[in-house]
Amino acid sequence: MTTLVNTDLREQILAHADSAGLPGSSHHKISTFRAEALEKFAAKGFPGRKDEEYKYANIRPLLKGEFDFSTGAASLSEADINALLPSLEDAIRIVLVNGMFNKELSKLQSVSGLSIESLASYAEAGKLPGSIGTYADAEDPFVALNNALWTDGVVLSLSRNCIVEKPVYCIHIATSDAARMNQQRFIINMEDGASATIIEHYETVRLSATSFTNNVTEIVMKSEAILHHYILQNECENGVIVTSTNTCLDGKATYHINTVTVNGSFVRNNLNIVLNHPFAEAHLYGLYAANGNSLVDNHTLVDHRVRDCQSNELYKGVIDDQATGVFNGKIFVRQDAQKTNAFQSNKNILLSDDASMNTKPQLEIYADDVKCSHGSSTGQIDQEALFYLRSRGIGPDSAKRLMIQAFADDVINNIKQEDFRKFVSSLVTKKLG
Amino acid sequence: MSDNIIQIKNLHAQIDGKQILNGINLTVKPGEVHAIMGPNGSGKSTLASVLAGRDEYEVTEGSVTFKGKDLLDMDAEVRAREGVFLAFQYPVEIPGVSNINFLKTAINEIREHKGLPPIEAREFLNMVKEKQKLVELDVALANRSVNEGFSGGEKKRNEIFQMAMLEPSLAILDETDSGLDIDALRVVASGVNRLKTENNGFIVVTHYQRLLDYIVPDFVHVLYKGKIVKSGTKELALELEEKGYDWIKTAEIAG
Repeated sequence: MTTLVNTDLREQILAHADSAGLPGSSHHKISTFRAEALEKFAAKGFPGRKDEEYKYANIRPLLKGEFDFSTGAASLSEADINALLPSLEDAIRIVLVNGMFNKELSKLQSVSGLSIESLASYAEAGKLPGSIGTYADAEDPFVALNNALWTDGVVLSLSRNCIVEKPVYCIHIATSDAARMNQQRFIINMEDGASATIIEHYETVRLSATSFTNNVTEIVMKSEAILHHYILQNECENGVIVTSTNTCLDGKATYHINTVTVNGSFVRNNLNIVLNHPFAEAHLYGLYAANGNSLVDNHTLVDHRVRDCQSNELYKGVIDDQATGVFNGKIFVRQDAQKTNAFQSNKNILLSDDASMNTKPQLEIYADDVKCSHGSSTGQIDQEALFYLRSRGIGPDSAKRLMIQAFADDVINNIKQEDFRKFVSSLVTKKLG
Repeated sequence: MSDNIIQIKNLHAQIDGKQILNGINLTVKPGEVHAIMGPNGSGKSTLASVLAGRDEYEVTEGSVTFKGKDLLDMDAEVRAREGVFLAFQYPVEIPGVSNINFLKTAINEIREHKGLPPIEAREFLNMVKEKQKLVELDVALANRSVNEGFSGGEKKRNEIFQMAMLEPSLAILDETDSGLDIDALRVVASGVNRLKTENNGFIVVTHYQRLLDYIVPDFVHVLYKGKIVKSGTKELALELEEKGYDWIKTAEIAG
């Protein structure tokens, strides 16, 4: 094989795709699933500035150079991981290193009704989780790429009335000295009355080249299921993350999602929620702190398909230096979705003259008996408030810190798991302090 | 060290090129209450803002000496740490910042400035309890975000509560009476009276004499067109109440 230098990542992917030896490839069903997706990706390639959905999030310049496609085990110790985590002693720990489920570093516990499996082992046995590819939009180029090339991931199932008290803490670690791509996949199934707290935490350890993580999560929730889902993104300046989280509330379920982006050079989160059963509820919170030249882009879609559902959304951003923030919040209220309650708010503080924020609420309402509202504001630190604090003896730096912390707490305080909330709060304080 | 708390000499100030103060002279000694009265637009609030250190105002002439130090040379937060307190005419709402956290931060920064260690948690809480009683501030309000959703009266009471907590040498009350009903006015005034000692001083800026029924001034000054045109004792305030400001204006023009 020829050495590929300065070819873009799409070409490298297409050249490597056949020889990838991906899990489950020997099974027809799985190889067909992958092949169809690869075709889609090949046709589209990575989105660029001209793609409306990725207008501000141009990933192409970040994916130059030669990528390493090996899936060999990286050497990480338990101490490396402990150093990154809050002291959640009793958490069920799942460790993914460069997109591969690492059983040695994970701390799985036996809980009745809960099953946690590696997607790769699942696929090697010729099985494909029923919901894979069902909820994520196969037309999205990153989803197509993941459909084609996922190397591993987690299949998490909660049976009827299974209540997992301990948080399920999943840490994604990127570690490498060569540029690489991590394609992982999460499948979460919650039966009637199941309840859990699932934390996804993105980190980098000894990462000296670009790491492009492309994660796809598909969640289906049945009646009375409750999920508290927290995503924390804290990668180094070599970290590039694209996530696609797709949650379908297929019963009268309640979904809480809180996405906090603290560090990383490029982060794009696609969050798609389908309210598919009356009285289903979704609560979406997001906080992003961007500085340097980084970009954080959150695209959310809440699809009210049926009547009597509720969605509540609050995203907040603090943008400094030359960083860019993007928020695009779509709400669809279908014709049958009468008595919908849908609220959305996006608030941003710009800390420098060169920081920018692009925000776009998009409401499409086809039902006539609904309550929907949206609001967006982007501004600088309130000078009157700053003077008020200074006039009480508080220096300008701590005054700003107090105000920004209060701004961020609005989102952080919705994290119900106390130890994790404190941990997130301290990371955010450190970043913004 | 001077005996005066503050000595303002020939103070001139402008904002956006517009001259507002045209040579103010005023000295406040420990234990004194000075009322500044005057018609709208005479520069009362500007004087309060300049003393508190608002950046938008530019001092073009004159000096202000605060406990022997050059006040105009200090940033707003340093003035506060040295003992200047401004009770705002329109207290600002700061969403999410709790009153208690805010005051603790302020007290500790003031203590640090004085070379003192941070306040003990118990001492702080006792102080909060005691001062809350003094201004009859609802316990629930003290724990809420700074001024957020407070009524006009609650905001002013919160100003006096902060003053009680920070124990300034000089408190400047900028139209603290505006927007207050008579009961709130009485509570605010009695808070001020209880905080008055032999060692601190007050500058009470007001448009109406009404407040001075409750906070009895030692001196009353009338500000007009950025200058003190008349000074007297509390009887001057009564005279103003009776005759309005027009006779001052006429006298000024004639003089």
